[in-house]
Amino acid sequence: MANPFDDDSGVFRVLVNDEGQYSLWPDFAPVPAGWESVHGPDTRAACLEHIERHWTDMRPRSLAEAMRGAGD
Amino acid sequence: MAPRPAVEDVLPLSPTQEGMVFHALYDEHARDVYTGQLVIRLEGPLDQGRLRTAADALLARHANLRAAFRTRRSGQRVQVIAGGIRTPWRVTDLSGLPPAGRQTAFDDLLARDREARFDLARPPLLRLRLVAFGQRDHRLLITSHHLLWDGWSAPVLVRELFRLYTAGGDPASLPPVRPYRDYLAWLSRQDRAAAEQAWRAALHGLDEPSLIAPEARDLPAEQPGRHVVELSERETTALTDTARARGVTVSTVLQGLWAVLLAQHTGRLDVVLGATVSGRDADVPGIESMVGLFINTLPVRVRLRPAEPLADLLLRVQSEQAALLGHQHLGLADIQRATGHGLLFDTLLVFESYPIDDDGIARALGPDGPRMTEVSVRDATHYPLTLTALPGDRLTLTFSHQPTALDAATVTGIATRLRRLVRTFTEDPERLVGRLDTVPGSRIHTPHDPPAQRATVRDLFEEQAARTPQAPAVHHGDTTLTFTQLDAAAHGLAAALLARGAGPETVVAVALPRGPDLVTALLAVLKAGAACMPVDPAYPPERIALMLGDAAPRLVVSDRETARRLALDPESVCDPRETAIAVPRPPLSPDHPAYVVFTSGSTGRPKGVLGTQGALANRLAWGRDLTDGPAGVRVAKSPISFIDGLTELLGALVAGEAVALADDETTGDPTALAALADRHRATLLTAVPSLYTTLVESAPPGGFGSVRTWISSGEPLPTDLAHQITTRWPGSRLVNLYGCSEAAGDSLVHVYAGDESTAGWPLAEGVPLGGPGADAVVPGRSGAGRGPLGSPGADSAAPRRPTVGSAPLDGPGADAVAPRQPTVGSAPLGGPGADAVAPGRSTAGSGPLGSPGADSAAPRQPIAGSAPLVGPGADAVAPGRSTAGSGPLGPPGAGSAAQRQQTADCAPLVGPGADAVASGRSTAGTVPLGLPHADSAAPRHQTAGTVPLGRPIARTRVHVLDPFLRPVPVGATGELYLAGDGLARGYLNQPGRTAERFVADPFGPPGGRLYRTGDLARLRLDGVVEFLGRADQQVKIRGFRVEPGEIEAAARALPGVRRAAVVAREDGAGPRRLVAYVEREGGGPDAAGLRHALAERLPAHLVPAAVVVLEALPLTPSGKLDRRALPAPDFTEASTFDPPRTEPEKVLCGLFAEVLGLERVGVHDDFFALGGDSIVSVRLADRARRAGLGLSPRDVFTHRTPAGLARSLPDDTAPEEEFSATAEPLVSLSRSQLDNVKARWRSR
Repeated sequence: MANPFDDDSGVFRVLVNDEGQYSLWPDFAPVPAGWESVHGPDTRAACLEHIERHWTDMRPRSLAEAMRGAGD
Repeated sequence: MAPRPAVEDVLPLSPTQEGMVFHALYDEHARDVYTGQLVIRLEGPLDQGRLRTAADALLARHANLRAAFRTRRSGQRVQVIAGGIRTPWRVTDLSGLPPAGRQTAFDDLLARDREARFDLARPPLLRLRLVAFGQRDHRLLITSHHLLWDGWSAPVLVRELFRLYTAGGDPASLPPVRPYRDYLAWLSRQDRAAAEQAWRAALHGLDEPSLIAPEARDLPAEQPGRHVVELSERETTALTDTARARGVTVSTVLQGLWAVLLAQHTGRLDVVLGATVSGRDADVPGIESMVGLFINTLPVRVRLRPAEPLADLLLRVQSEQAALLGHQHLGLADIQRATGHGLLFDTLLVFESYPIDDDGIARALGPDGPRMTEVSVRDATHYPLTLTALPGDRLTLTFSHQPTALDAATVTGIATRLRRLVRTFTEDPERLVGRLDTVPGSRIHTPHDPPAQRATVRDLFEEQAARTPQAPAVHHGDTTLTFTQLDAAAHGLAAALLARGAGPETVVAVALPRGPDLVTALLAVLKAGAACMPVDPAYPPERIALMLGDAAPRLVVSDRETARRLALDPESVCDPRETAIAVPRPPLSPDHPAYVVFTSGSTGRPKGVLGTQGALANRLAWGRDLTDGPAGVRVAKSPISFIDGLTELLGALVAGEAVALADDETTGDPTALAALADRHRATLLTAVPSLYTTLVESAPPGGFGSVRTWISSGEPLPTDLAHQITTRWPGSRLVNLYGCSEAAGDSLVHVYAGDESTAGWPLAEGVPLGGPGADAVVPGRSGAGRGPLGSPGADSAAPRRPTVGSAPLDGPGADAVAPRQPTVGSAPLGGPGADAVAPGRSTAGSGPLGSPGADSAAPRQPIAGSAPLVGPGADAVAPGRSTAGSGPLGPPGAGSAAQRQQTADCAPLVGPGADAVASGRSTAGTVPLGLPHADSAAPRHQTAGTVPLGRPIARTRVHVLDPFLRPVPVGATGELYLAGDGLARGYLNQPGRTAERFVADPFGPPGGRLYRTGDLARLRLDGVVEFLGRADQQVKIRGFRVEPGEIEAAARALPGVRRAAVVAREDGAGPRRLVAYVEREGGGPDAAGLRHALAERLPAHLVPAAVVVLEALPLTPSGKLDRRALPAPDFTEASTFDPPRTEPEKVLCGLFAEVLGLERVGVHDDFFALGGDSIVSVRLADRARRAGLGLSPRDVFTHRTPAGLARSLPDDTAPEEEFSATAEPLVSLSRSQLDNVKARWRSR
């Protein structure tokens, strides 16, 4: 089975949603609603590297904000 | 008696004929699909005698029409051309019937005629029948074997028949005919080596065949179903114009679009379809006017790139095909052999490009003769699906299919999608392949989902504890805790954890033996709002250290003994009995993590799944309804470090049911497990199929009598096993769950209904969720937002048919989907008595052969079939290679003497020749030669005989997607994606890995995520999901998820190992087990040493049953691991074969050999070194008990060898002690190894 996310030679983007969650995304496919492309088109490795560098807090944004609010 | 015909010539077979003979003889009792019928309607005055004379002249003129097919004693197949035979000719008069009955009678006659096989050894392989509907209205039926001629020959044949009719049968009225032997001679001169090289290049790197009906192999031939789509003139013109503008042929367009459809159906981007080529481009003068079989069926490989524009793809396909133009003479079987492939494809595309000279045919009958007003053809192929495209003002697409392999609805769906793709090509040829139109949604979801739980696990538990404070919550040994007691204990510990810094967004590990403290600790962690990370203390300390290092838990709840053994940092350890003054609990969101569970990681390290409170709460709340009826007792026995261990245990508690906690010794022993279940009157038990196998076999009589619900998960559940379970425990319910740690454990549910059969998918009406008794599931017991087990209601099952109602299939044959069942009549085929009458319909699909467009009401069928020919795996004897020896290809005339001689070693032709029959049989005997090829293609699909995965659980959606991330049609293979409330946050500290597995969801609410499981699945029409295997290398061993890559990485990390490959294999009667293949460098440790080293580092379920040291790992030509070439492990290598000395030893050696699937076993042979595992140990203990030797599975783990086990027996059965001094274990184990072995034994 060929999965587009596993295609090492494919062209990808990095998507982010409102919760600050990241998704690798094959460039050929339309970007789903609620997601925004923040990097790419680029190689798979480069996109993953971007994600590793930028997605440092894996909590959903709304939760992180609520926790900050509670902590204040 | 007719004069015995003379042998006129003996010729080899063309590759296409070889393949066809193979299929015709494959099952001599089945229908021969290559029996074709051509029906010509003749209106006007007809001279019957003259027509018969013309037919005789035609037969005399074309040697091909007089061929019979024989096998020489050498095994070589030849065609023997008989001389002096007359045309079998029969006349049937239907004119006496009422007009309405004639067509029906004729249809019946056609049906019976189709069933009458030709004997390939008896020429001619054709018969004619003139059927009178009236004095001036006739049908001429020409029935023939496809071996004789192809579709391109049909117009020639018909025209010549009519010319001979007008000429009174005078052969001189036609120019001399070029013999077929000239073509065969041309074939023999072709450069075979160059062609083989070209095909090797064309198919280089191809992994797998492209099968649209993978389970259809070896189905008997059957009457095909047909579905006809006729494009409008406008559509046809647009297609032709766009193709021309883009520099491709319409045939290439269809091939490219067909490849896109195949990709969608198979889930593969590298696909192969079959295509028929005319073969008439051979450099043989006059070949275009010859009668014979020239066509060839060849693979067309198409590599799809989602980001490529459609027009570019088609250009590429065309140029790749052009590179093979000079090599199309090679037969399919030869291509398969040369490229090392077996079966390549099961769909065929036939583009009927031959010219039909209707005027010429009409003129041939002369001004005074009858008029040919209709012609129709019926033939078939052995492929599950064949698309025949007939160009014209309106392109006609005929889909013929084997109804058993592909049902009519699926074929209709395919036709609709192809038409849609054609439209896309004409409207937007620049569209990316990955964005091509497809049918809307095969997505399924739960339409009547319960409202969002938005709960936390501690809410669910505490609410339940308040509802049933005095009810029993945990049974363990003689201890029973009530909900109040459990809640209080957990509360105290939670306070201690909070006081020491645990809380939301922290991880607390729990490393405890199975007992009430474990339950308390897990609940305490959840109450504190932290994520619990269950750790199996039996794992190797190295592994535990790795996991703890990854998850960095704030605390580890562990007892002193365990903490010491695992060398835990005392600062971080919290005793399960610790308590503290209650501290305020911080608020807890459903988005906070609830669990960390490690799963096997393909890159060599286990990965921690971080699941949320909301996800786990959703799963647990849904799971309350797994209990059918009043609250009962659930056995908790699954290993706690896996998600199933958590859901099993917590699931009971939030449902207000008691947990009967199995300890380490009980989990895998049917007798002990039954004792536990019976003691506590357990009503629900979860196990993996491999354990069910032993339960069914070995559970004590009457055991498990109180169990009402059996849950199977972790592995595909075979239907026969499901049947055995429900038969052994009638009145109970068997529920199959599917899921993974990444989605809170379970996402799909199917209640086994007893008559599961995948044979009829997807038409088969789905078993309603729950089947009989499903209704009982619906009423909730506590009423707390509880829904039924799966997607409730029949609405959700509403089949989403791929057929789009708005796209009318406007060909008149559009409704001719149903296979025409042959009417079995008793009337003899021939003779005047054949006028059986039955009311019925008129033949569909017949039409005029007149000027194009003259009658748009009927599609113009191609004259005579161009059915495809060579079959999968057909092992053709290549013609031409034997030229020198066989002689028949010499110059005409020169070889005739030689040819006569050759008949000597052929079976006689006709007549008294009983040998002819024998010859035919011996031919059949050689046929299976072709089969190993076909079988060697590794089947990926496992669905046959397994219980479906079912429908989504509450607030869960599933999608089956193709490589372009679009929903696949019903019945097609795709990858399973999950969405909904169950999804985990991701992988602990691994954002990259998380972002490539938890991906943007194009189908759900904006911003949602999908988890891609890596499992292959398909949807049934009723919305039920069926499991088809893995898209990657992940395997399941006794229900454990295993990434071979992780074990390979561990092996490669050992000194002296250069390369390693790990596979799961089942050899002979042995169980499915992991085997590691290792390529060493220098003088590394031996196989036993390597396995030993792996056992030090890996948890038991990841330790290979055997390590095999190889000089070099076998590779395929493309450099990948050649899995098929990996040898079976020889478990007897380590055996000493010391013979048994006492009766118990003898019995035990025999039982060892029996359960391990080995020839023999010595008394000092170690059970585990021989490939034994926990499941097999249960079987061994069971057999031993039956043989009067009182052994438990635990004894097997402790004593390991026949000698050791015999020694352990009570005195009255023990052997003599004479050899005890030497019966030391072969291997001495460290403490951690012993624990490891224990863990192995405890596996579910």
